[in-house]
Amino acid sequence: MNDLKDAWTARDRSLVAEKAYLLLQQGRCQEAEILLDGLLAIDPQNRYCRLALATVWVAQGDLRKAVEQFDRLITFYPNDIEIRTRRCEAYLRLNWLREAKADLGWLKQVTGGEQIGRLQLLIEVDPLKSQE
Amino acid sequence: MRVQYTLPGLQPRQLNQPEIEATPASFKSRVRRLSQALPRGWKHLLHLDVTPTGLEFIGPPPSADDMEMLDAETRRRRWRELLDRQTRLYEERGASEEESEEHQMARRMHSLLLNYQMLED
Repeated sequence: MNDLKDAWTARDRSLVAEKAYLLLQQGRCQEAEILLDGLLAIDPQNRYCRLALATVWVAQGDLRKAVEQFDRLITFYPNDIEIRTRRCEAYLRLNWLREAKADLGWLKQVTGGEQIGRLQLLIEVDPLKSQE
Repeated sequence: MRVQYTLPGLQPRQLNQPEIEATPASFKSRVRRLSQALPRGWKHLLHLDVTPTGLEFIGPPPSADDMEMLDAETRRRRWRELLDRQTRLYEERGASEEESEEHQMARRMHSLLLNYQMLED
């Protein structure tokens, strides 16, 4: 894998990431995925690419695949608030309340704010769903 | 004398309100009518259904050193250099060699980029 990282310099990867971003903006998700996958094969810890890939899957409704990416990101960046928040969102959409609550608990300890308040409200009212 | 306070064509918008009843309605019927008028669920009203995880939340990637300053010509040249270099490397390595999954993914990415290059030429 190191030879890949040697072959594709940081500048190369930056150019390709930019291209992937442009494709995403045009809604060409499949092509962007190929580029993001390639970049992650070269540099598995690339936060931007993995987060972008996870976001693509969330947007496409493939939440389990997205959660896999968030899980991997958290192993690399355990204190990243944005990644935890997004994983919590994905858990909520999957209706995995126990996991969502665990992430929310972590987020509460680390920070507070609008985004977390929103997640908390979603979790707290969830038992009321059936009464809607 | 009657004064016209509004300009023709700039009349206040008609509110979509039910007609005023001749006899005063009971409080209960008013509450019922108002709750029927609520557009959608409480999640919509609180904007809780707007998940901040759409594609629009992906920002541009952090750019390497001088990338932002590049003009179109330099950028094209860099792309060409990149793809030529990678193509040479892949030719040297050869296609028959057993490739790891990572190498296959990188090769796929490279092929796609080559296609874009051909379309641009």
